[in-house]
Amino acid sequence: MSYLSQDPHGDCQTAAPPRRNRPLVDVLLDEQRATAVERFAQRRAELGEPLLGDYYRDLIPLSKPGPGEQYAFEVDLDACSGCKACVAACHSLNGLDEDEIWRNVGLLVGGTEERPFVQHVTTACHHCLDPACLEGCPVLAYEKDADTGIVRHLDDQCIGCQYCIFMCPYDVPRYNPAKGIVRKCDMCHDRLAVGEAPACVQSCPSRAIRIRTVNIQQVVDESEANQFLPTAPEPGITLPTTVYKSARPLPRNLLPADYFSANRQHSHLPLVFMLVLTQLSVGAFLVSQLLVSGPWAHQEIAATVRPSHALAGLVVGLIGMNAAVFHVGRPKRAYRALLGLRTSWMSREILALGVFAGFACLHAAAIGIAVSRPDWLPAADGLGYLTAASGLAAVGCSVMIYAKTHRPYWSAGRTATRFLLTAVVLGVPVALLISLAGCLWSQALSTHAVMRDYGQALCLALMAAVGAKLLIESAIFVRLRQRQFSPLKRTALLLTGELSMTTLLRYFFGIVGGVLLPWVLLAGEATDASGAGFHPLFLGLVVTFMLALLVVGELLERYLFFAASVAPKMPGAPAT
Amino acid sequence: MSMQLAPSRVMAGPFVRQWHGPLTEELLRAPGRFGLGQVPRSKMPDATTTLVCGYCSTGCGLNVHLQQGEAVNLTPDVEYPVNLGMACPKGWEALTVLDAPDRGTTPLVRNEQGTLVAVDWDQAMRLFCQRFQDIQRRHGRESVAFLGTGQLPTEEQAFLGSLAKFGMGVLHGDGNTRQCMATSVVAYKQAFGFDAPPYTYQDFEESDVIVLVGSNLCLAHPILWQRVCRNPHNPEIIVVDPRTTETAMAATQHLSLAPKSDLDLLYGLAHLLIQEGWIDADYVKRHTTGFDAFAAHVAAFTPECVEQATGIPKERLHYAARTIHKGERVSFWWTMGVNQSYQGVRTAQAIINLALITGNIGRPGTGANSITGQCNAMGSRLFSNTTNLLGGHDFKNPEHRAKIADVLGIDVALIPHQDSWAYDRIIEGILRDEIKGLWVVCTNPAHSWINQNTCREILEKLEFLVVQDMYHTTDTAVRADLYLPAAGWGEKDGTFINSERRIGVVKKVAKAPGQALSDFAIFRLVAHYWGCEDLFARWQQPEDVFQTLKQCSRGQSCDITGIDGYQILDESGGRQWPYPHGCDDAEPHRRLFADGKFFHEDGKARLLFEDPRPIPEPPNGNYPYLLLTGRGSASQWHTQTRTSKSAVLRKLYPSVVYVEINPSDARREGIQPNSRVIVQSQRGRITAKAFVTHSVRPGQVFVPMHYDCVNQLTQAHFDPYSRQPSYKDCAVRIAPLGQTPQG
Repeated sequence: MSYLSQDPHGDCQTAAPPRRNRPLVDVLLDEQRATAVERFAQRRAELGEPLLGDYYRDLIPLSKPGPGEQYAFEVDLDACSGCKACVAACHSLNGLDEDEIWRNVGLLVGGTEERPFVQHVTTACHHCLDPACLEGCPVLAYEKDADTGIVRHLDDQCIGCQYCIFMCPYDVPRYNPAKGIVRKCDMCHDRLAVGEAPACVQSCPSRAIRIRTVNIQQVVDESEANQFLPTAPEPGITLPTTVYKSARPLPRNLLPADYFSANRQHSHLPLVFMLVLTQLSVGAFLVSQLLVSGPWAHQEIAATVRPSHALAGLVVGLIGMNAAVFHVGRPKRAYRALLGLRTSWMSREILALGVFAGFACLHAAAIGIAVSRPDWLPAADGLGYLTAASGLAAVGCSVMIYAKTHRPYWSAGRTATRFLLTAVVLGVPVALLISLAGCLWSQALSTHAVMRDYGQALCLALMAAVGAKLLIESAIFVRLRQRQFSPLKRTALLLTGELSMTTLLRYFFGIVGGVLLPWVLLAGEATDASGAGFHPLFLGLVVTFMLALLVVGELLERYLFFAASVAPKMPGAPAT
Repeated sequence: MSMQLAPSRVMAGPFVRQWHGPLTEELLRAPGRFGLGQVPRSKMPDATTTLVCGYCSTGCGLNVHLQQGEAVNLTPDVEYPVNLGMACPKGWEALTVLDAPDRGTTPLVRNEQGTLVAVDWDQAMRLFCQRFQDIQRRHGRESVAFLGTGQLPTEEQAFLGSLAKFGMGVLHGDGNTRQCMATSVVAYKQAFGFDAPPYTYQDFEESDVIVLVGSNLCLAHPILWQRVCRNPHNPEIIVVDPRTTETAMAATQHLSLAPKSDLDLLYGLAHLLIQEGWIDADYVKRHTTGFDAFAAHVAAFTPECVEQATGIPKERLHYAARTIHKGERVSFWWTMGVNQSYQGVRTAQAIINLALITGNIGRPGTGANSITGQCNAMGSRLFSNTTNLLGGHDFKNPEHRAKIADVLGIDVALIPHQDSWAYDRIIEGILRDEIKGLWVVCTNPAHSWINQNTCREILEKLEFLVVQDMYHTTDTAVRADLYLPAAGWGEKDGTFINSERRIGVVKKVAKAPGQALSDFAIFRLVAHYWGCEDLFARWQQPEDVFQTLKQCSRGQSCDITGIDGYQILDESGGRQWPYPHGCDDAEPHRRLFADGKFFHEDGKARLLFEDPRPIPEPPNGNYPYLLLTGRGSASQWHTQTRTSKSAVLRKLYPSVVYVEINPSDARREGIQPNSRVIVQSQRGRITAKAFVTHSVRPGQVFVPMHYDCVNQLTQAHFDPYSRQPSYKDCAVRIAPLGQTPQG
C-alpha cells in the first residue's frame, strides 16, 4: 500500500479523536508508539541493480587485475573538500559497530601568508604489497588476495593479540574490544566482485576516491622514490598502493594538523605485565643458574640452592608462559599462535616462551632425580643452561616484536637494552631471594654466608644494573632540546608532561629498590653471623622489599614504554 | 628489489585457518534490493522510504531502510532531485543520534531542592498551564513569550505559533531562525517584495561564474558543493571570505578581504561594472527602480578606496568585475558570513544589486541566492506565525487577519494586531521584567545566543522557563523549570521547506523513547489543558495543518494550493513553491522571476543601499585581535545537541574547542602550536587549543561556533533591519594558558 493512498483527510477521520473515557495523553502516547510501516511506499522493491551504478561506473575498474597488477585506492586531493562523508558511509554501508571506523580524514596545512594551503586527506587501508599486519600476525588472520591484492582480515581466525596494530605504519587495523578481535577495511571486495563500488567511492560527493588497477612494479619503483604522500610514513616499509594525486604544487612546509600534538598511547596493561614477568622469569633463571653451576659455586651453594632454584625456575617459567595469554582478545583460540612462525615474531616469542617453560620442567625433574642420583647433576645443569638460553631467546623475540614496528622509541637498541636490563634488574633480587630461601631448609649454608660469598656482590651488580638502566632510560630527555618536533621529542614531552607523575614514580621505585635497599645490604652486619649482625629474617625482608619495589618500578617503566611511544600514522585532524 | 608476495592459504589448510564463522558473518554484505546494491546482511531492509534530512536547509532526501517498520539504516536517496544519492556525515548518521542515553523519556520538573525530577504528562501539563496563566494574570498576557526554531516541521511551527498567539494570548514569539537567515528575509522582502529566494540548486550546475560570499559551502553545505562539482562548464568560482576555507582553496579567485568590508567590496564591484558599462541597462530599466541613486552612491567606491577598506588590490577587484562581466550565467550566493552581520541586510542587497544590474536573475545559472541554514528555516519564514502572520501575511493588516481567521475558522479578534518582538527584544524584555515566562521549543539559546554569560544571567531572571527538546541535557534544558521530552526528526510526520523552496516530507520511521511525544502531540496536549483545543479541533494530524496552511497561502507569492498533500510530495521528490491551484508543472527544478516580474506592486525590484559602517568593536590596544566564528566541520551542527551523540561524528571533529591563529600572531604572543591558550573579550574568557594556521589572516582568530563557550566572547550587536546578531566581529586578546592576556 502506498504512502497515504487514501484521502488526505482520511487519517484525520480514522485517527481516533480522544475518547471520552481515555485521557488525551494516553491517546497521544499510543499514536506516538504506533508503527506506520504500511503507509510507506515500496518503490523499487525488486530492483537488484544499484541506482547509483551510473554515478560510480567509471570510478571502478572494468576488469580484474592482470598478472603483476592489483586493485588500489586512488584519491584526487584536489577534489576532496573535507566533508568526510566517506567515513560515515563506510560505517553505515558496512554495518560497523557504533564507534568503529575504517576510514579517516586528516588535514595537511602549510603555505604562506599570501598562499595559505589547506588539504584534507582521506585514508583507509592501503592494501600494501608487503603488508606488515600480515607479516606480524601470529595466527595467519591476514590474507593478501592473489587476484585482487586486497588485504583481507579473517575475523574468525583473529585471536585479538593486536600485534598488527603495532605493525601497521598507517594505524589501520582497529581493535574491537567488544568482540575481542581486530577489524579493518576490505575494500568492499564483494561489492567490487559484482561491479559495485566500495562504500567510500560511492558516497563521495566530489568523486575524489576511486578504485584503480596499479602495476605492482610501479608501486615498488615509486616507493623507492618515496612517492606516496608528504608527511606520511615512508612507503618503503610496506609498499602501500594508494595513489594520492594532485595537480597543485604542495608547499614545502606542509605539516599534518595534529603534528604538534603528543597524545598518550594505549598502555596495553596485559603486555606490560607479560613483558615484565617473562623478563623476570628469564633473568631469575639465568642468574640463579649461573650461581649454582658457575666456577664460583662451591659444594654447599650448589646443594642448598639448586632445589629451590629448580622449583622457583619452574614456577616463574610457567608464569612467564601464561602471562602471554592475557593480552589476547580471544584467549581460547590462542593455540593458533604458532601458525605464523614463518614471519611473525609474536609466534616466535610464544614458541620460545613455551620451550623455556618446557625446559624449566625438565630441569626441575632432573634436579629432583639428582637428589638421589648425583650423576644426573651435569645433565641437570646442562638442561638449566638450555632453559636459560631459550629464555634469552624469548626475550630476544620480544625485542624483535617491538623493533619491527618502526616506532623510534621502540628501536632495536633501546628495546633490547631495556628488556635485557629488566631481566638482570629483576633476576638478581629473585636469585638472591631463592638463595636465602634455600637456607631455610639447609643447615649447610647460612644467610650470612650467602651474603658474604656472593650476596653483596649481587647487590653491587644490581646497583650497577639499575643505575645503568635508569641512565639509559633518561637519555630520551635529551630530545626535549631537539628543535624538530620528532616522534622522540613527542615521547619526551609526554614523559615530562601528561605522564610526568608516572615518570617520577618510576624513578622513585627504581632508586629506592635498586640503589638504597641494596646499599643497606652492603653493610658489614649483612655478613656478620654473630648476634651483632642482621637477623636472617631481616635480610630476607629487605630482599623481598627490594624485589617488590623493583617489580613496580619495572612495571611503570614498561607502562611508559607503551604510553609514551609515538606510532607512525597518516596525517591527522587538529586536536582530536 | 624483487617482490615476494605474502604466504598464501596454500600453507595452511582450512582446518587451521577459519575463513567463516560468527564473527565473519557479522560483516557479510548482501544484495539489498530497492536499488540499493549490497547492504550489511544484518540490516537487509524489508521496506524503504524517503524523508528529508533534519539538519541543514539543503534538504537532502534520505532513504531509510526499514525492518518490521523500524528504521535500521539509511542511504541517501539517489532519485531525490536535491542530493542525487549523496549525503554529508550528519545525514548518514541521522538515525544514530536518536539513540542516546540523554534522550528525554519523561517530563521533568525542578523541585524545591533545585533538581529536575520526573513527573507524568498530566502533572507537567497542569503545571505548564497553571504557572503560565498565573504569570499572565499577574503581569499581563504578553509577559509570556516563546522561542521556536527552524528545525521543526512546518506543521509544528504553525501549530506552535497559532497555539501561543491565538490560543494562549501570547504576543511575542520568535525563532532561532533569527540567528541564521533573518537578514536574507528582510533583504529579499525589501528588494523583491516578498521573501523569495529565486533559485534552484540546478543553477549551481548551469552557471559559468559562481560567486560565493561569506559561504564555506564545502563544509556548511557539502551536498551543494557537490552540485558545483557537477557543473560541466568549468566555472570561475569567486570566493569572498576573510579565511582561506576549503571553499576558498577550491576557488579560482579568492578575495580574502578584511572582515566586514564586504559591503565596500560589493559596492566597488558595482562601481566598476557601471563605470565600464558592464551592466544590462535594458534589464535595469525595465525591471528595477532606484538605479540612478545607486549609481551615484557607488560612484564613491573607487577601486582605490575599496582597496583601502578591504585590502583587496584594485587589480584583483577589476579582474573579479571583469569575470562577472564575461560570465553569461553568473550566480551569486551567500550564507552566514553575510547574514550574521550588523550590516547584513544591506550587504545581501548589495549582492542582489549586482545580480539585478547585470541581468543575472531569472535565467538558468543565475540569481542572487541566499543559502539558508536550518532544515526548515524556510518553513519558519512563511508559517511560524512569529514575524509574519501565517503564510507570509502581515499581523498589522486587517484584511490579512480576516483572511487567516476565516481559513482557521477562529474569531478574528484572537489575532494580534502587532508584530512579535524579535529574539533580542524578547531577551531584553526578560531583563526589563517585561517577560516573566518563556517557552523554548527545540532550540538552545543558553549556548547559541550572543554574549552568552549575560544571556544565561538573563534567563535566570525568568519566573518560569519551559524547555521542550529531544535531550534533557542541552545547555538550556538543564536551566529549565519544566522540561518536556520531545520526539525528534524521524519520529514524527510533517514537511520541511529547503533553501530552493522545495517542500519535502519527513516521516515517522523510529519510535520515540519512553514518554516522549512529537512536538505536534505536545501542542495538542497544551491546547487541551489550556482549554483552547476547540480552536484547533481540526488539527488532529500534521497533514491537517498542512491542508490549512495551503489555504493560508492562497493568493500569496508562496501559494501552494496546487499541492494535493503528502502523498504527491512523497512521490514527486518534493515540490517547490509557488505551486498554485491548477499548476501541474512536473519540472523538478523551478526558479523565480523568469518573466522579470517581482513581487512589489510595480513589478520592479528595488536597488537598496547604504553607507558601510565600521565594526562597532574593532580590534584595539587592549583587545588586538578580531574574533571570527563559524562552522567548524561538516560533522558538527550548531550547538551539537544531536551531532555529539554519534560516535562516528565525534571522531570527525576536534573534541575540544580550538582557536585558529596565524603563525605570525602565534609567534608574537608566544603561543606554541597545539598548546592551550586563553581567549578573552570584554565579556568573557575561554580556554582553547591553539591551531596555528595560515588560513586565518594576521590580526584575526577563528573559533568554531559548536563549542558551548564560544559565545561567552561574542558581543551582542545586531543588524538594525533584521535584528540578526552579528557573531563574526568582536575584539579579543589571546595568550598562552597561565599568562594573563595583554593588550
